[in-house]
Amino acid sequence: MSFAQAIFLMGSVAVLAPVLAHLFARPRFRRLPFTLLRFLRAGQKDVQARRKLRDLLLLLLRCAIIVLIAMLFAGPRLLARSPGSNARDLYFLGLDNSLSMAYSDGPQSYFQSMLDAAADYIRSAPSGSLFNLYALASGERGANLSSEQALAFLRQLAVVPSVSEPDGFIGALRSAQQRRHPDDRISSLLLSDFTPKMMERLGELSGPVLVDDARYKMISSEGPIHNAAPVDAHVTDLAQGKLHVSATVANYGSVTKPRALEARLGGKKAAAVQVAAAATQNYRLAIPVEGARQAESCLPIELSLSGGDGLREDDTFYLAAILPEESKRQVVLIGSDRRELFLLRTALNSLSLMNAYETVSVKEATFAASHGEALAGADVAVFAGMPDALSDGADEISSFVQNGGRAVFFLTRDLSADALDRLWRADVLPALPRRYHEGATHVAPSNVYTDALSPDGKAIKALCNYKIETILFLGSFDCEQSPAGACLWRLQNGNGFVYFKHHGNGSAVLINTSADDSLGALTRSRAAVAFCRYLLGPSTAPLQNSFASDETIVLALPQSESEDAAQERRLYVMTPSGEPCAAQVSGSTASVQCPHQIGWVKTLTRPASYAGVNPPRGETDMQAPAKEVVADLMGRIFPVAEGKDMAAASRNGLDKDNRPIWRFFAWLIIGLVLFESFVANKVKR
Amino acid sequence: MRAARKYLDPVLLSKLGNMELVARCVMEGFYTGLHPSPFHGFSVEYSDHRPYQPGDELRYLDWKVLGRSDKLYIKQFHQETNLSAYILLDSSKSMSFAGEGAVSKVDYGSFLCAGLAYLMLRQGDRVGLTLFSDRITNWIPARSTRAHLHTILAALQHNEVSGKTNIADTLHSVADMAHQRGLFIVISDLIDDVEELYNGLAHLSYLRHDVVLFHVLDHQELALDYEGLIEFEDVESGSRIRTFPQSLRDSYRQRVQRFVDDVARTAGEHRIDYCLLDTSEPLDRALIVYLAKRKALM
Repeated sequence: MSFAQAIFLMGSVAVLAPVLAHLFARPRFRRLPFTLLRFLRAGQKDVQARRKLRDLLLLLLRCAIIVLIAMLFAGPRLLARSPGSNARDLYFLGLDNSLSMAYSDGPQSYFQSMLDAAADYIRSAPSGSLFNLYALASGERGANLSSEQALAFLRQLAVVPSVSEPDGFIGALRSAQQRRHPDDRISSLLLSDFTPKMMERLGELSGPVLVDDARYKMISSEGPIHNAAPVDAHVTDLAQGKLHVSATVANYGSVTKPRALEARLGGKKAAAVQVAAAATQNYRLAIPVEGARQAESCLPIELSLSGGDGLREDDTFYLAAILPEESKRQVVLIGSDRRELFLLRTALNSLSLMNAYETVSVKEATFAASHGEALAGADVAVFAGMPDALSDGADEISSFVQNGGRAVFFLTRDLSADALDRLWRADVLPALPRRYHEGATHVAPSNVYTDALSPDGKAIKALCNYKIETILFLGSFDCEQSPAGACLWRLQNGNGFVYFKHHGNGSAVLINTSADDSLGALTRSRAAVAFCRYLLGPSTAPLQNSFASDETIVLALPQSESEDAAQERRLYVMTPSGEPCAAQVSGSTASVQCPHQIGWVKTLTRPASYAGVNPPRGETDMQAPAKEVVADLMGRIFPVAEGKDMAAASRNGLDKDNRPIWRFFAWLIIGLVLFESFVANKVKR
Repeated sequence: MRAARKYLDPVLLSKLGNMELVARCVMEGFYTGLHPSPFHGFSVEYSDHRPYQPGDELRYLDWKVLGRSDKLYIKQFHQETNLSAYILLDSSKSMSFAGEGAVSKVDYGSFLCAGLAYLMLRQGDRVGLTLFSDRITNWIPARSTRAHLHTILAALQHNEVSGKTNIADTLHSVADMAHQRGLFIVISDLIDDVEELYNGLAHLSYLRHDVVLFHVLDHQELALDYEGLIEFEDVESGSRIRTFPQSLRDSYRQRVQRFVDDVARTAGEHRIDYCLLDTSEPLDRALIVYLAKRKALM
């Protein structure tokens, strides 16, 4: 038998109290006159021996009760292992310190409850055990710690605004399982609120984990969950001195308390809208920015839900709006006839009407031997196909692009091999079409372009919001990608959909479908305007800087600052905690990995550039799954030991090698107390 | 009857203070509570008439009344006897013991003495009183005058307990002093050497005296109903014993009962009327015992 907290055995000293009382206590006798003492004396002799035996029995019982209580507090455990064994008790604790664990609906938060449960688990382990602790969200870990070190690790642990990643914890368990000594005993405990995000991560784990004892505890609230949060926001427009922001408020709980969504600009309340937090909804706010715009072009906007709920950390969304300079774009549409270009022109005109800061003027032209006149003064040239007429204009087009123009090519079935060859040799085309494939296909759901932070990457990201992948395409070409080109997007049949290439100061884009067919489908869809916006290149619309805490944060730098920083390739920015942090400078942007914080990251320049850092979307979704679902999932991850609920496992006493036997002590104490009471009251003195 | 019986309550009598008043209360209360017929005496001095009841002796039938009215009446007479009664009251220290809320044994005995003396003198008997402890402390010879009652009551009034119980010597002494056969009423707690006690009783019996032995004990002496840790101190010897009465109670009661049974059996063997009296009970039982004895002597 061993004790988890042997210090409590010192309480056994209290056994001296009844012993001393027995030895030194003098009972108080009441003196009374009497007559028939001869009869009392005769009986006294018989009773004397019995009374001494009774008093001794009572003394022993009381001493035993005191000693057993001290042992009970010391946490007795039964060790069934053979003495002299080199076996180790290895405990692995997965601790969910993601942002959702900051939720609190009572005296303490989920996180605190989790720490208490972990501390109890550590204390109940036999002495000499080794603990491996993993903070699932922050990635902190402590390997082979003693119980004191493990408790110290718990004390310094904090909630971070990140999603829990159980991969490291599970990987460590697998590694320990492979390296284990035959007598080693590996136990694991996973403590989490098992939010949908966490369940998603756990569901992605491959293969079971084999340990001797696997437990988990679901930290959850007894009452209804009260948590709503602004989870996303987009700058939609800047008109008449007001910045229009579309904010998405999600109700991640079951309480539908009306609240207000307030927008604060530079710490001052700028706009507000009432929120009926019954479900996920979008709300529009018009924020006056005319005065602020004169001072700086990057505006820090905080969107806050009033009233507060169980999780205040996600009640504010940080969004930096970058206001554009007014610009004019000249677009020339070149095709066989006006009918072919009608839909595209209509979409571009709509785009021009939508954005007050970017005027788009559209000019139409037909394919001709010389395109110099059509391209003169144009910023963007859209070619609805590649007929023979384009062969002679290859050099002009190349020159147009090299001088900063943007050429967009649509592919039709009747391509001119000569035109393709010339354009390819002029190094204008991002990809060379080879063979046509008939058959329906769609855009692949996700883009393949790695540099999602570039202007084109951002445009593609915006296009995803319009479900472009649902649009039907009737055919496509096998394309050979240019060595300097990139495939931004692919079709579901494997062919590239959008190819992109820088050429000189400009860029060229190849759309692997025809303007009259597939682009028609595009321009009839909700994605029409966004796609046209993409064709035009980098936007002059208001931009925004808002990132999730697990993303790389990119800040646009002022021209002068970027030139200075480019010399050293390093720049210091202020993190949400107020500490400076080194950022990597690349061109006119500075990127920094935010160390698990929520708030503003800003440059130390004047005017400053801001980026809002927010919780990962969905992380604070507090709608916990049913216990059966969690039990099923844990059973699949830990199949051998059958993932057990922490309390249930303890109740069933499944840990046979190292079994807590406090219940036995508790029952023994109760039994002795009852027996002592019986002896004291029923046995004659 | 119940209202009358309260005058026999020893606690109430102890509050009266005057022994003569006590004696009157005892007897008035006793007679008021009794059935009217059985204890009227029969002598030559006419007392009263009462209707004939089956079992009455025909010699006491009033034939004149029968002749005149054709009804059966019995004549009653004041008894006239030459009975000499000697009341022996134990006045040792042990008799001063009184349980909580009760009268002491000597007071209880004194009330009984007073009542008996009053009764006997009213019936014309001669009554004497002996107060004793380890020796005879007061001896009042037997007389039948009405004034003698005051002498006896005064002696009881001023009686004070002292010394140890030595009932055997007292019995031997009074047996020697009594020149004619009489009735000896012994009132004591009998806390003495048992063999000596039996010898004394045997002595009286041998001399053909009639003896009534009233064994007076306090309720606590019979039941030992004390609670808690108690140090008992003997009222005569001063010796002490510490004990927990609950643990001794059963064995103590058995021993007391054995003692009482032993005394009763020995008394019976010597044709002595034995009556155990609990000081918490009224006096009427003792008086009934006496009157039964008195009737038997007629």
